[in-house]
Amino acid sequence: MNEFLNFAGRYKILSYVSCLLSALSALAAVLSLWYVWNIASCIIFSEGKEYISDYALNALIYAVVSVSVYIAGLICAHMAAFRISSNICLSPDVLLVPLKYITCIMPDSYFSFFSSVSLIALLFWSDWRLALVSIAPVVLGFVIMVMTTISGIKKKAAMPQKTSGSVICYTVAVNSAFLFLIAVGIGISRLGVSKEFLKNFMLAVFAAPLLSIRLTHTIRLREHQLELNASLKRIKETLNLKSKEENSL
Amino acid sequence: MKQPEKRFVLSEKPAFDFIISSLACAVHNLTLMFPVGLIYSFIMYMLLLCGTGYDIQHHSSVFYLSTGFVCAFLILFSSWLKYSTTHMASYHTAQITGSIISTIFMVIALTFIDWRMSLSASWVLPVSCASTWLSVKVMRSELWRTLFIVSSYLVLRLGIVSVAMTGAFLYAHDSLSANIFIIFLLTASRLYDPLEVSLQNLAAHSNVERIREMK
Repeated sequence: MNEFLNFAGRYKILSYVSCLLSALSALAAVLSLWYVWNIASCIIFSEGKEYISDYALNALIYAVVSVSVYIAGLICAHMAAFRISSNICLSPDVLLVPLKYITCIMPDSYFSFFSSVSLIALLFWSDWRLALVSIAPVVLGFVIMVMTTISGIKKKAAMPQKTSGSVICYTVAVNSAFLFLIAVGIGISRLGVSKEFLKNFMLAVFAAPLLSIRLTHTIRLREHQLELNASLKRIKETLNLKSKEENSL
Repeated sequence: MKQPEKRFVLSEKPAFDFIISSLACAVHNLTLMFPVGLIYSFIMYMLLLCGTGYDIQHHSSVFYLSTGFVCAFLILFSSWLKYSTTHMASYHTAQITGSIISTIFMVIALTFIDWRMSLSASWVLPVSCASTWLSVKVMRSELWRTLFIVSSYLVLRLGIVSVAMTGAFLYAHDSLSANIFIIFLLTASRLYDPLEVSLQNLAAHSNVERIREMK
């Protein structure tokens, strides 16, 4: 990725700005969710009725900030990508790939990564047991995915393809966060339900499905990025080949 | 690299297959909503016990866990159904169509609970669809195309906030009960997931296709 950014020249800074904006956007999105959770915990215990409209307003402000900052980051990434395209003198077909990749996926990838991190941080801040339980389904799904891929490689030496079986297992594992939450909820509430725990439980209910979506997306984009690196290697080889030909002439 | 023979090799009736796979996607998305009801019921049960010092009763914990396993099994079955009926060539289109069907179904169901809250949750859907449509139409400018495709799923993130705003207003005016507000908040936190994921995949997929073409 970084090698690739060298093509951007002094516009490299734009891509860093884009990363920063994506991270800020992710943080704002999590803050917005946090305010929504505040509303939920206010109404469930019917207390702090006077704060609810403030919380709702804050949730709105942070959501709008998140969306607009994200779009600003996307535009920055786009400008950096145009610079890359004019700096590499290759045919437009070859250029279109990295160009589109950078513009679309870079802010997306940083956004999902930073929202995963901040959601995990928020969950650990509220209750570490619920945080572990919220991460567990994705870890489980990922382990299943890796295991099936490895056994797939062992069976046939061909390109490891994701089988629909492992995709199904992954889908079920990732979407079973609610089951883990209920089990842990029952386990912890053995000695009576505390108000504090119920509030944290609600936060996990809001955050866990979102966390699994963001983490899955991060992993998927990472795969795409590895694909890009492979094609970048080919671009470089072609460039080297061309310069050798020019030298020999 | 479009390969028509590869696309239609599985059936002689591609249109029929497409409808079946979209419906399978929709069913899968709807099974993903079952846990929301279970979690709501569990939260309400814990709320009853909260502060009383009573323990969760044995038969209740058995009920919640077994219902949870039934939900997980339904998700397993529906995702098997989804992947066995969906062909790779039309995967993203079927996923988007399925998500639209299931989301509309959910919105109709929510309208029976409270039409004002349902309206506040659903206004983002036509905006998102219009944005997707525009991204297909505006082919000339790369930036505009990307902006439209990205806003199609960004606008969905405003849905839950819209529900929170409307709910807070109605709740303050004693026009909405706390339980229904909670139901809407929990549902809105998951309502847009299928559509968001499929639009995000579409956005990422169009880029990956280009990379694959280079090989």
